[in-house]
Amino acid sequence: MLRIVRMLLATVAILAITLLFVDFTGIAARWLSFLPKIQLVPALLALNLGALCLLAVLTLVFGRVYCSVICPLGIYQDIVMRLRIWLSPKRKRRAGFFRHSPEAKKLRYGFFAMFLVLVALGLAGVIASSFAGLLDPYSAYGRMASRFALPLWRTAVVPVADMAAESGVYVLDSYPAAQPLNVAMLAVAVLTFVVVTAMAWRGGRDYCNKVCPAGTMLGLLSRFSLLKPAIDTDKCNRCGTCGRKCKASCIDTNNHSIDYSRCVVCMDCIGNCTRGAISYARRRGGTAKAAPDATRRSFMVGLAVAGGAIAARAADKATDGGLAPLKDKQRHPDAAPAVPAGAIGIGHLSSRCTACQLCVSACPEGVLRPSLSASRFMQPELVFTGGFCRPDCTECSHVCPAGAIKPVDAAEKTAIRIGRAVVDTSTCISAAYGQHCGNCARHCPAGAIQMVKGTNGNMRPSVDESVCIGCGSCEYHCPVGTAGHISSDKAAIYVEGYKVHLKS
Amino acid sequence: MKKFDTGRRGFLRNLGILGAAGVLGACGAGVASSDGAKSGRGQGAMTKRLNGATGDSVSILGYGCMRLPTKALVSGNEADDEIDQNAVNESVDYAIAHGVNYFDTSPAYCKGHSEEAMGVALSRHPRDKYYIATKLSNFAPSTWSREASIGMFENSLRMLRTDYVDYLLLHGIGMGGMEAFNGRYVDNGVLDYLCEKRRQGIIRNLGFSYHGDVAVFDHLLAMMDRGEIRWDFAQIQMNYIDWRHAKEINERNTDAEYLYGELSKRGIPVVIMEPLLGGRLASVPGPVAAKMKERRPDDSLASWAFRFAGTPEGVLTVLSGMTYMEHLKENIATYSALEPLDAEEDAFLQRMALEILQNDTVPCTDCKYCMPCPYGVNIPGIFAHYNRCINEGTVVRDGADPDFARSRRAFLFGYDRAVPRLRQADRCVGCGACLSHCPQGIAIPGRLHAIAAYAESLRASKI
Repeated sequence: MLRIVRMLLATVAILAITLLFVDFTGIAARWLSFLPKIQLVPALLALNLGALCLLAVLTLVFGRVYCSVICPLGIYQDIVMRLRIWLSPKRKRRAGFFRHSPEAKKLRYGFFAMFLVLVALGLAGVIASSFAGLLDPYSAYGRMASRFALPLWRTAVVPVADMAAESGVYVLDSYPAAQPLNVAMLAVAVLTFVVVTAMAWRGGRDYCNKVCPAGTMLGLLSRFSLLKPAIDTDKCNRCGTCGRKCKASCIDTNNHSIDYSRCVVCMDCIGNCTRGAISYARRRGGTAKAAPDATRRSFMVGLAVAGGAIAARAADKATDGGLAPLKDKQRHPDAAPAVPAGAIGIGHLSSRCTACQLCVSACPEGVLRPSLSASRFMQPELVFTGGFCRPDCTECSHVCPAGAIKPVDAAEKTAIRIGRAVVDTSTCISAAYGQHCGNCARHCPAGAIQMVKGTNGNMRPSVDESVCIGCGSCEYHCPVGTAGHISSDKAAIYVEGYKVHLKS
Repeated sequence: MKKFDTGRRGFLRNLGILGAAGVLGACGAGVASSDGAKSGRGQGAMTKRLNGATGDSVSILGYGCMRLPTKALVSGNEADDEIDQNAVNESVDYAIAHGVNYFDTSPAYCKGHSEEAMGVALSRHPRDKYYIATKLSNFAPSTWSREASIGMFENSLRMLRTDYVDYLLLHGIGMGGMEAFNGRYVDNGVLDYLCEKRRQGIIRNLGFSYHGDVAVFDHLLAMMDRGEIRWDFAQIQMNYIDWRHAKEINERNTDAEYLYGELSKRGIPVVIMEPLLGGRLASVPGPVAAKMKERRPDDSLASWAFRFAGTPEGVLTVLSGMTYMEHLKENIATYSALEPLDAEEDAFLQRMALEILQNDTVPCTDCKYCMPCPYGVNIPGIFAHYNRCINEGTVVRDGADPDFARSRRAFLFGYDRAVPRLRQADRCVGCGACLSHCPQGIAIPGRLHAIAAYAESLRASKI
């Protein structure tokens, strides 16, 4: 019964989270955006105390249910194991796939320490927080979902959208265009996929109990959980079934002991015990090995270190017919990157973002793209070659679970200057060649651009940097870089991002 | 301005006397009508008109070759704009089998490939089964010299796989005014050359197609009045909007009522182009459509426009560019046999014309002369989408309108579907390269900027 409930909740959760990554209608986000926000690592980076308390209480009462019904990567691993079970012969299935193993402390706390170091380095601004995010199960799942599920969904939904559009229904229309292939992001997603899938196939919840920092953190709490599965020694005949069916390999049948720091309360042991010897109930920690005080202390210290560092960072907030060929516009390689208005600045974003790609999936204009630079690896940045950051759109700021992009409303956004437009008069068709254009000025939503007479007598764009918000409309609308007959492949007016956003 | 007032109306009066399906005798316009049968729509044979001078019996439906089917129709990839020869062959075979015998092409159509494709398709049929009309086009000044013009004509014969042309037109007379006409056709002796070819029988009928400056049109007819030249036929834009409201579409245009009257008075057979105004009369505003359907529920909206264009007896043939087989079948049905408009229906269409004009549509006929825009803008595609939305009533500017959200979606998503982002109106830099090419004289950059501003206002208003 409990097992069925767990499976139901898990199915709903993974579908909902995947939907968030593939749904471009914004409907899913309206109802489900809380799900990423209660993911442990992003919540920690966001100092989302509400979510952290909720998860702590949840774990202290029920054990690591987080790993079974909230974490998408955990649920994904359960699905892999379920597939393996279905694909195996009945005999093997009955025998079970797992056996008890001792806690791999060195590995587990080694990875956790590494994670803490990466977070600290990220918060200190030394490296991008996305490196810590590489270990975050939710972000890892997000990177897989945005690289695999989104293109699949797009392909599947196009014929349906076409049919719907025929009858005037446009809900399914995908307004952000498909993003160009990003080999590095794809490689990261494929690697994550291969490692996680292989580990789950071979060793069940190995990833969760040896690598995952969220699993380790929750494991420290779940030892003391109020409710936990426990073996009734009177009923147990030591058949060993529960141990062979335990994905977390945490049941020692011989000693009737369960390692609650690794147990993800999947309830498989309870469901499989023919003698009803295992029950999920309020117990004293008797059957569990008492957690050594040292571990507990180190955990608290770790949390304090992480928390302190976060607090320190939070303080420094600042013939006829035919179509002319078009080219793929390139961004100026040395232009300073621009990040969305809620990000406060590049430093803030790169110290918080775990690179889950939720904002990238949510951007209706498709201008938010994962960066390839080492200092902001996989973290979002604005690319204005195929669209611009609409002053009225605040989607990305509302989906970020890690607080890297803080919520802003449209009115606030128009007062945040994320960068400024810079004119390259050597390639501007008006300034350099005296051709009629002014498309940047015509489409500037802030009214920051005016066409003025240049020294050579040609009209040239001039940017009022006190008004320009860096939305990139000029860069997008500039014919240079797009029109096939103009040799340059970069816009003649482009955005230089500000390191720290200015508020006007 | 002189207004011709008897031709069309006089004809309609006659019609009343003769009865709706009466056979019409030849009259002043040099064209005689011979109805194949008197049974219902699509039940009879194609109505034919007689060109008195040469004795040609021409189908009232003329096959326009400006919008030949491309491979893009099948592949869905817009860049795939190569002509689909199999589709052309199939379409031409069907047309000829159902009595269509007038094919109108030009060296400029379909990026210059129309003549070649028609040559392939038509040469599969006996040469005396059909009439070929082609043109001496006038787009690039580099083709204006005598040598280049002769080269163009000879190339047309080669492409069309024939040694004579039944109907040859001076292309786009009136565009560029008198200067362009004299420079293109008169001063370099090209017109004399064409007359010589007519004497030799290589051109069987010599005429002109007219757009734009009415002074050139009047000048050409005056030349004929003075006996300097004989025009065997002329091609004009005529539909129930242009009949009396051409100026309302564009200040530079002239009412078809006048043009037709002048030609009819001189007995010059008239070939009709743009009977649907570039397809716009095939999809009219909802209330207009409702009234049309109320009268003839089984007839298409386009059939009204075709019946209008075919009704005057001076009309030799009505051209239609039928990209889809369905359009061809539909038009053949309308004209087999033509059921002419009666006086009451004629008045009804004039009322509908006024109603249509109240919409702020762009008078684009999708001729694509403006294309390719150097900046990649899909000008006709944008205008077509905008006009469609105007007609469907989904251009709503008032955010408080209860239909605003629905209309906004229909406009924006339909826009993105019709035209990719990087070819939309906001890419127009206003260089004006298109302006001189538009036969309708549309202020293209201005209209594009207005549409871009409207689209942007919709995108910015999240609901």
